Amino acid sequence: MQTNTTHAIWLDRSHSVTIEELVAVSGLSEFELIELVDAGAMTPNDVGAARWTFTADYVPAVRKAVRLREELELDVHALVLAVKLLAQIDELENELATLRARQSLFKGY
Amino acid sequence: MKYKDYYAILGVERSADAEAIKKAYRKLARKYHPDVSKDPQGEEKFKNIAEAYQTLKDDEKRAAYDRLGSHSPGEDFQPSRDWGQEFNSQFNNGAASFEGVDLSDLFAQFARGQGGGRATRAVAGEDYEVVAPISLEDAFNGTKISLELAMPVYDEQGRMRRESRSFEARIPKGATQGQRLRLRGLGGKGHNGGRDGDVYLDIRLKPHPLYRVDGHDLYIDLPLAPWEAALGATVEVPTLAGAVNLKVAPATNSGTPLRLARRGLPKPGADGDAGDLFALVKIVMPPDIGEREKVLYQEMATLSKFNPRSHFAGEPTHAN
Repeated sequence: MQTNTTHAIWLDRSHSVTIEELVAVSGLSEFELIELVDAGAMTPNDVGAARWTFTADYVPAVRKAVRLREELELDVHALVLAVKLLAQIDELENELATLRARQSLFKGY
Repeated sequence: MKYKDYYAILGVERSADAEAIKKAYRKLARKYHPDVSKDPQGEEKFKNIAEAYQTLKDDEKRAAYDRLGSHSPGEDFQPSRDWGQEFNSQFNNGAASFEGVDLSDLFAQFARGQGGGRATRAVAGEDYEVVAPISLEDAFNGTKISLELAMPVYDEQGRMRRESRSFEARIPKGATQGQRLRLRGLGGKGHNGGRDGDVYLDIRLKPHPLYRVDGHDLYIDLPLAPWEAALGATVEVPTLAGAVNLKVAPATNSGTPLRLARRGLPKPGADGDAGDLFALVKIVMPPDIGEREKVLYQEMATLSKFNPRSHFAGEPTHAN
């Protein structure tokens, strides 16, 4: 049994990744990432920075986009649309989770 | 190895042309792709569909697959020695034995060996995506989970087999529903200078009998007796760190969220920040009202001028 506790990296909005890291883990090229940014499907932390960084929650999102591109054979326009729609689904699922959490389940005695 | 009928998986004839195979794949992929399908079996179905397409879309692989002959799906078989020799150049090494090799790995290997000889380009190790269900208490305290993954290993001839590898991964405090964690380098080993693969954990919180989760905030129902809501009370509320006393103000309405700051799930980071716990007030009637209680309620009804439906009065009606 091998125990490894040192490589856990948070992939959420409170952490960042560089564009180079995103390229390395996603399989998208830097050019394709820039296409996604230009199309409004992704937003860098500071669009004016010399080297872009992104919130780390983009890592699973971009990996999912790459899977869709390869497995559904999407072109870059369809990929942009898929990324936007997936982001909307995530947002709606989060809102649904919030509403469900706030809904009282107690039915009385 | 177990035979898989790739043509049947894609629902095409063995004589289907490349266009028909692509069309069948796209149709099935749109239906079963795990990122878009709600079918609980979608992931497994898509895996087989993708495996079939990866082989049949490539002319050389398809020819090699066809030369394996036709068997019943699931039937144990071994490629013949002749088959191994004929497609020798497509493998790293034309070893005669295919013992312990899976059909999908056989054709994945096929791709790696194309061009003849041992591949020299850098190949990244496989990444793994693993759903990790944990309890709310585990998310609150941090926990360790055991993972068992079928990792590719290569013998001295470069031939791939899968071996089960077990390891423990620590999920630090701060995780919540849908949290992703990357375990760098714990996936498949890279080749020829390629990076080692990663393991991606997708945290799912198991349903809890008391708490509901919204990010790092928690919600709990707080039932109050009518007199507690009317007069105010100090009530004990369970939290993940132990029970706390909560002061309820007089005249508290049903549905009011009472916030217990930083009593929710801890957030990532060392600053000790945490979500909140919201106790949702629910005024509850006792199941039985005794005679004496009835008298008191009747007295209150006579005494009180309160009309909880006063806002109905200004509403227009259809009669108007």
